[in-house]
Amino acid sequence: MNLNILLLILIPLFTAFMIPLIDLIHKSIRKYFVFISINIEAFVAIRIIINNFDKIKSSNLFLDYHLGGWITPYGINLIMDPVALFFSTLITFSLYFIIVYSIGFIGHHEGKYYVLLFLIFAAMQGTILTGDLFNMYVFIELIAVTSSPLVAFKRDQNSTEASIKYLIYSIIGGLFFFIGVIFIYFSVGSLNMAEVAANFGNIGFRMQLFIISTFLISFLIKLGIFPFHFWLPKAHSACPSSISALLSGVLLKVYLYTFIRILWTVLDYKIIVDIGLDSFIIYLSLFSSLLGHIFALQADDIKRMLAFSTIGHIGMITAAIALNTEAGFYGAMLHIIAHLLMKSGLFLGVGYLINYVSGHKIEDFTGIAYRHKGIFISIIVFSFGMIGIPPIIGFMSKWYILLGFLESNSYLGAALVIVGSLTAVIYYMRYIARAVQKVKVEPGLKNRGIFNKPIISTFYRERTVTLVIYLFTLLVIVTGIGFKVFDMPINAMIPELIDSQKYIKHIIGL
Amino acid sequence: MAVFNVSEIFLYNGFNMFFVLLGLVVTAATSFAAYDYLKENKFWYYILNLFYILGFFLVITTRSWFVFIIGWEVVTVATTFMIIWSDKDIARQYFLVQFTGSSILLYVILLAVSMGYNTVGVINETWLQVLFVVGVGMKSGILGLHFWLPPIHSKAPAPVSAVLSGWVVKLGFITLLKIITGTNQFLLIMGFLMIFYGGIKALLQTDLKVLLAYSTISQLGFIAIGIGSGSIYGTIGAVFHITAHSLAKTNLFINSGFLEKEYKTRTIYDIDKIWKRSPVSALAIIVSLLSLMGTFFLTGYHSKYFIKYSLKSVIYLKLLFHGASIVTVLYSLRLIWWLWIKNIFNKNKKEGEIKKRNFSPGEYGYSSILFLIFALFFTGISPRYIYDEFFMENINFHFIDGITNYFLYLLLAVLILWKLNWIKTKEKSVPELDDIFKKVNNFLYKISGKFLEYDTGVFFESYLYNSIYKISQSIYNLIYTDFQLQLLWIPTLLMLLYMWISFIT
Repeated sequence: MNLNILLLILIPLFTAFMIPLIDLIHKSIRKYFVFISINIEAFVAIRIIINNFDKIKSSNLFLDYHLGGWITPYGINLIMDPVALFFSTLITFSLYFIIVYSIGFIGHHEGKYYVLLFLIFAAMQGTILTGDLFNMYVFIELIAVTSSPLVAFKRDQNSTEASIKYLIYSIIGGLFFFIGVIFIYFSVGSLNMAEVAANFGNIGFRMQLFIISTFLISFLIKLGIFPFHFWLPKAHSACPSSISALLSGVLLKVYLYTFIRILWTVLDYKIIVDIGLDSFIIYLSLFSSLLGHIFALQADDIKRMLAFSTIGHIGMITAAIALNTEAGFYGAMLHIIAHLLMKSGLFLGVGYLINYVSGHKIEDFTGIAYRHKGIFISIIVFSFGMIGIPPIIGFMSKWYILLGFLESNSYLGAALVIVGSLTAVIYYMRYIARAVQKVKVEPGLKNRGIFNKPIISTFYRERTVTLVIYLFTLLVIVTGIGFKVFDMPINAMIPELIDSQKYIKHIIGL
Repeated sequence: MAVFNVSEIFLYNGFNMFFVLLGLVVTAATSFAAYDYLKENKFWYYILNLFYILGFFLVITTRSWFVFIIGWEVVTVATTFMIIWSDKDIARQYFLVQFTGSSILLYVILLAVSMGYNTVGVINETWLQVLFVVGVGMKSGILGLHFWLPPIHSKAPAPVSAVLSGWVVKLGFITLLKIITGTNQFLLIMGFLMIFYGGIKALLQTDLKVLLAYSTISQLGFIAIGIGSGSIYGTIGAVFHITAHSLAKTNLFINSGFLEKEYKTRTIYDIDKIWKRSPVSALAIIVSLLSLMGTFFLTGYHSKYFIKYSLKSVIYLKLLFHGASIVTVLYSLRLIWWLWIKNIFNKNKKEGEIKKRNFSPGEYGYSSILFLIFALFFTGISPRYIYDEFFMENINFHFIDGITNYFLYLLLAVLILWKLNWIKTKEKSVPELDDIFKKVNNFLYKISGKFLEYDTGVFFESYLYNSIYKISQSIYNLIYTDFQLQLLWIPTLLMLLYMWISFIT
């Protein structure tokens, strides 16, 4: 029993419900409250790591918490194993930065914004930490329901349309998840993930395949893989940039976690390999990756372009995971970190720059580099990372993903990774070339917008925003040089993924 | 962690350190010469030079493929940023081309790694060797992947061209020297093709820098033959020719920049009174070209000699090599004629006062040129300094054999050029990378029987980008349909999956 895991979910949940009350007292306290709350959350996450450092090192980490004191098969339990720890930590820290950025960035309807944001935060942590299938479904639905108002946050026609489309797809994806959960409950008789994992082999072959394919469809919709990717670019480009960073950089990684967790731990990936469904997943994801990169070539809207590029990268990561080899997992996990840092950084940086102009079309991008040179250099660094130029972490992850593909003799996959990075050169270069065109900067333009309102008299909003972007830039380079730091957590989780027996033994054997 | 174990990653043997030294000499000479040539962004040029040195140091000395490709990319990025201040479009094209090349190389390297070749070293499979040739080909201008080289080497600022043509193209061949030991027929044939293609193209050029760029392709062919021949003499010859060509071509490109500033033109017919207006440049060009031709007392003599010696067992290859040497002599002599000698016979022109000189290379420029000339003579007169570094074997020099050959080539070349009236071709515009893509695109459309009109300049500035944009847009329009149809994908795929499942069970 470890209360810290529960706190990881409870703190954001509590913050979300406290914000309206805080607003009743005084609205200016809100941001301090938010800041304190995310600091406590980060503190809890760090404390979990420090307290269990030896266990993480020996790949033996296992923490659990039984809600309401009910023992395993009967109640809901929260579980933190190396996989959950990896994703939970990533999310905690990326959201830390995104929320700090939001403090400077969001100018209106702040109260609602933070409520929804913290609800997503809690739901993401819950999805990762829960050990119960139905509970996971509830959290996934919570993510869908809370993120669609955030997509429509700008309240214009475009964002409302995007939000409705997003909601429809999310609900359908959730529906398939739910159908899968129902059939698992009918055939296994339990919803506890370890129980299901232990008994999944006993049910009929046809039912196994039915459940697997239903879940697979659900994940393909949630991840935005090719035939179901239509919601993604629209949703990711219509919302404020901080939310784009959240959706594109962070939220998709949560779905990747559920993809790994369900297909590898709960259901049996060996069945998928036996019937040859894994090559279906690999080739579909690779095709989706290629299409994403091609679509990005023609996108005339920078945020849309970034969203298409996300489709490309998520397809690549999914394919690398579906290879089901150690090298593939290593590359995919490294690329999850890399893509999270780089794509969030890109969205945040672009979000800052397009505040100087009226829109985010490519015509608006002309000469934008001279509005703020430092931020633009950060954007160049991020795009170099996306392309895969050393010493940025994008290169390291590209290397290991390629190695993963080639070691399992998937030459086509490796070639598509190369083609993806080549197309990325073209579409990033197009925007960069547009941005460095010399135009006259009207002095009046620079002073418009929200950046004049100070947070505290000496600390301006603009500085918070730029600070976060510079921090991401620094992180991208530092983690690129010292990418071996991630060896330990990733190597700790790989045996856990490949063999689910350990997970089952830990929960049922307790 | 064992990652930072220096002795595992780097290998400091004589072979590697010689090339590092040579690269440093060439880079130092270039950056000295650039001191008065460059007018703006000097500070960043020198900072980038440091990065560039770091890059090729990693490429040459490393044993780990991972560090190798990092160094390779650092070289790419550093040289791109060197170009960016003079011309953004050229920098963009250069980066695109180079990144494509390094992506191919990355694929090939990882293929080798997944096959068990964990360190930079000898590779046994011939097909993998050929893939490596293709991989480094984009940077090193192997025929077929050379298309970017003449446009970009001629358009980049002169110090950067000197760096690119003098040293960056050699990095690939240094790598090939490490991984190829036996005979590689592909490289051998490629080498001959490159010599003749580059040489004949160079013969027809009127622009000094384009001529030099084609000459680079031609000379790289000699290195390729040296490596591909597989004998120890070929390897020595390749090492010598890397030395000779990097010194000579660096010198030539630096001086082409000086001449361009002095005469405000790069057309070789318009450059006159070179002895009076820029004597040091004249001397440097002559010495460098003589070295490329294979004149005795200069480094080029030894390289040509050794490469020829390595081919001596196969008679037709030897004959071909004679032809290749004559091609080099031909275009070098033609350049010498048009830059120098034509004025001696030109009586019509009045011996007017020389105008005030437009440009002076400055003391740094002069010293670096003179140093390069000295280096050419030094390595030419005492070649044992080089090959004692690598090879313990005692090699006999047949000095006379080489000299008689050389005079024969000279005689033949003079006769041919005299007959052809020293090949005065029409002035052409400098080749553009976009034109090449345009030609390819038009060709493809001609095959399909369709003609498409592009509205350029709306979104993408150039032809390549525009066609990519159009193609991707048509794919986008194909897949993006109504919302209802988009949603229809879900039941379709679901049905397909379920049908497949019921089929296999």
